[in-house]
Amino acid sequence: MSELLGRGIAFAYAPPDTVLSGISLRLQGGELSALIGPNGSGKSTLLRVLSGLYPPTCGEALLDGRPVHRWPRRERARRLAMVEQQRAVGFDFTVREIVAMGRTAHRGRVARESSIDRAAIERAMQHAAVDALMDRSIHALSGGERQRAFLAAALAQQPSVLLLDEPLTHLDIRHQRQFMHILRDRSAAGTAVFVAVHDLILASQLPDRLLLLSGGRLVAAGSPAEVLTAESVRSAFAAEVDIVSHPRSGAPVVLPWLGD
Amino acid sequence: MSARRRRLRAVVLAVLTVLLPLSVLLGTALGASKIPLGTSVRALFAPSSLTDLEQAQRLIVRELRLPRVVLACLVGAALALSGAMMQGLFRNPLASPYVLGVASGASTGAALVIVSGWQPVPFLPLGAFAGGLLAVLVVYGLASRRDHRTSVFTLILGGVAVGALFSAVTSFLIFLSSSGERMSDVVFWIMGGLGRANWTSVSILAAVFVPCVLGAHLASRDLNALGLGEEGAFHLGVSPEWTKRWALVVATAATSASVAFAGTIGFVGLVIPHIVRLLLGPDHRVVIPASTLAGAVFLLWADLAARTVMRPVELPVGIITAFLGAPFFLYLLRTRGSRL
Repeated sequence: MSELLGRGIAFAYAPPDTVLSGISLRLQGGELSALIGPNGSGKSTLLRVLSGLYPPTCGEALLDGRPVHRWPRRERARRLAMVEQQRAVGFDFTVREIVAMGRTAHRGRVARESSIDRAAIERAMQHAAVDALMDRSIHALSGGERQRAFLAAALAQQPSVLLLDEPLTHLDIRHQRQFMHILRDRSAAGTAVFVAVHDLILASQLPDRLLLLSGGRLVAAGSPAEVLTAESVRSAFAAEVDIVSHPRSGAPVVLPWLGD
Repeated sequence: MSARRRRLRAVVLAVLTVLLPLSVLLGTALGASKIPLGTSVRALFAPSSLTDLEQAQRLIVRELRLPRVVLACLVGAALALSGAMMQGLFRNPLASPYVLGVASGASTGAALVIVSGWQPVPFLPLGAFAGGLLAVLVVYGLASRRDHRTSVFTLILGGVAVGALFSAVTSFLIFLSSSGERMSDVVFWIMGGLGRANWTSVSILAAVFVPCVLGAHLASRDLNALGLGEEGAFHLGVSPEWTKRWALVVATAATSASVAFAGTIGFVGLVIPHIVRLLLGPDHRVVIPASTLAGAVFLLWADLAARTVMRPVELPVGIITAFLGAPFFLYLLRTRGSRL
């Protein structure tokens, strides 16, 4: 089982303006962790560093003990998958074709789809609940279906570590719930899942662990009840909030106060 | 992929594979002077069976028409292949093989050779090839940033600007040329044509084209991945930078080599990959080989039309491809609009 370890990660697009500093974290198999934080706090940048797209300016991001950006591309892609926030697909690919792209790192340059590939693609489509959509064009899908199609492509990579950058934005409550449950199931099956979430109500319910990012630093980490306190949310988001407990589960629910 | 599309792929590829040799055969029989199909077949496969009277026709078939037909196939195939790759690379179905300024650069090179009065062989294809390559190198140089990443956006805009610059140089050369004959030579060259075909040009183009087919085939999986954007491709385990460079080199080699021998023939590289994509879907592992075959058949027939519609006068083939290509393209724009 793979793990992703961050040790003192700092990152700057244009030094010396650091976007991230001093970030240490551990993502391990079987855990669903959510990354929360205000706009511009560095969530997307942290995910890009952890995915190996950007090497950290300081510190290290280690995938199974080796800096993630030093892994050979294909070997990395078989262990770690990432679903980015905005994806514009250039052509009219079908869902099945998009999901099959998840096999890129597993198959040869000119190899045909093997039975292993086919099985992985079918399983990924089932897990992400897009098997009924497989012949549809990616451009003909609703927002929720599209996100699940990209998730299925990432699952077809059969990664041990799955990173997702705000996959729930623009989804309605039903699709948000469905998506979070798919992630929950994948983590229960042994994958380390790390998802950046914008919505604090969503973040508080299913994840095992929350990491709160503010101004490029991790200011809190732990169970939702430990992280979502009125003080930590107020200071991180600079917003007036109250924390109540969910009538069904007792999970902390962040209520923004918009009055006065 | 739906079963229907899979079947269509098999059918289209099979039809094209059969159509190509048949068209070659017909292409050698038809032309300014009519040669019976039987005679042309015998001229190709059993020259000893020809009567003395037919020997002249043998010469026409083997030394004039066959190289021309084969050159048409190679040029059509190379342009369609490179168009399919450029569209994949730019993730934009409106890209053409000439998007990086190859056509304007090659025209300037050719105009320079014609106006200066050098021997057209071998300087004309050499000049055109060098001009095309120069334009692409300038554009690529512009778009390469210090961090060794290439901006696709700058490539397109740079292609437009460099193309305009080279076109201005060409116009200036035409303007300066003292003799009307040279002027019309330049204009004819720019319109594109296969009239200068011979076995030398065919073999040189084939020598460039065959590795390009291989190169395109090797790039097709990664071009698909690039369809998810550069970051998307990276996360799938593909290097977007290497894919871009590889595709640019292959497409530029194929385009420059065909432009060197046939001038700037438009619309093949733009329209053929489109039709193929509309019919068979966007998977480059299908689009590239199918476009290559379809481009060969299309340009062969376009050239046949150019040779015969105003017999014995020969039309520049670029006129035919544009006449066929532009209305079809407008039709696609009209009916498919946003889905294009």
